[in-house]
Amino acid sequence: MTPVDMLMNKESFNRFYKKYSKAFWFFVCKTCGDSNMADDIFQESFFKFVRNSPAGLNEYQQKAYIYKIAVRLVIDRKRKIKVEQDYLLKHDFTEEKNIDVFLPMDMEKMFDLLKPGERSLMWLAYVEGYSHKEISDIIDVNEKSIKVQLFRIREKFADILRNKGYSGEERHEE
Amino acid sequence: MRNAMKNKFCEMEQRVLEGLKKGILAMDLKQHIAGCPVCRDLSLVYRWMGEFNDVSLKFHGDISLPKADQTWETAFTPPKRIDRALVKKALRPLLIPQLLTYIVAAVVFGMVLFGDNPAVKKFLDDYLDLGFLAGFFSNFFRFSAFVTVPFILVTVFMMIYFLFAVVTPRKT
Repeated sequence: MTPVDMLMNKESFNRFYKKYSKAFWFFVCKTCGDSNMADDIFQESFFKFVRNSPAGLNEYQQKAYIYKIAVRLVIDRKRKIKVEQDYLLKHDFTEEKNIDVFLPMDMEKMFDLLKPGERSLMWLAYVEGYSHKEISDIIDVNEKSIKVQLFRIREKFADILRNKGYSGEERHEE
Repeated sequence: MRNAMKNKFCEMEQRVLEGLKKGILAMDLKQHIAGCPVCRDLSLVYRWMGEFNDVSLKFHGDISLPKADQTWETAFTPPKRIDRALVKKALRPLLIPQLLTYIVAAVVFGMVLFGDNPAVKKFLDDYLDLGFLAGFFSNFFRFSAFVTVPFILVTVFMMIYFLFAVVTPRKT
């Protein structure tokens, strides 16, 4: 039996890839805030996933497993690229007056105000729709801590949004 | 002040989140959101994230991801090893200038150390007619420690590099 047979077969990988690759790329892209880095991490995550994914995982566990790989890779990369974080700290975008909360590039800038770990939590919770328990499995942090972290990030980000004039009411009334 | 007054959690949070996910908020939830800072933040951030996702999908709609087959194959392809013979061949044009540099450095270094030696001076005068070089180097480098010390250090470093990197054969 080859290592490949012990892990997952090509057909099941193809199915999994087709179903989740796009959403996964968006998650990586939004977490690291850079589409080129996202491409690298996306590929590396899938390579690690097919090489090391333990046998017998169901689809949900497989998904959590690859997200976990990506979160670690993003954090590793961001540690290496400390210069970029220093740049963000030096250039406080919250002070920029001309940010339009509805323009794609400006939305990216606003989201980049959060740290990579915070961005991944927000994306998992409010775009992917994971529960606290599911997020805690992915991030390897206990459930209660996820709840507290989410509360803090949400509070911080809501303040930023309000400062930029976003009320969220328009879409709600439609 | 606002943060200090605010509770960290709200019992209705989960219901509000479910409502936001479905896109339908009952009147009691709407009223609750209006009065609860926790759920107000949740609602605001959730809506913005939804809009951000929509905009991102439009903005990056044409992303081209690698094919599943290609990803699978690449994952199990062993990484290419560096072919040292090819590297050596590619760097061959640099070998002559590199060797010349080392030779010149070694000669100058020798002159600095032994330029004053009468035997060396005699040899240079009698056979090469270059006796003036010995005096030039010994006087010039003795002139200032700021020149002599770095020069000697660099030359020694180059000699060591030459011995280990060029002369010593490598395992391929």
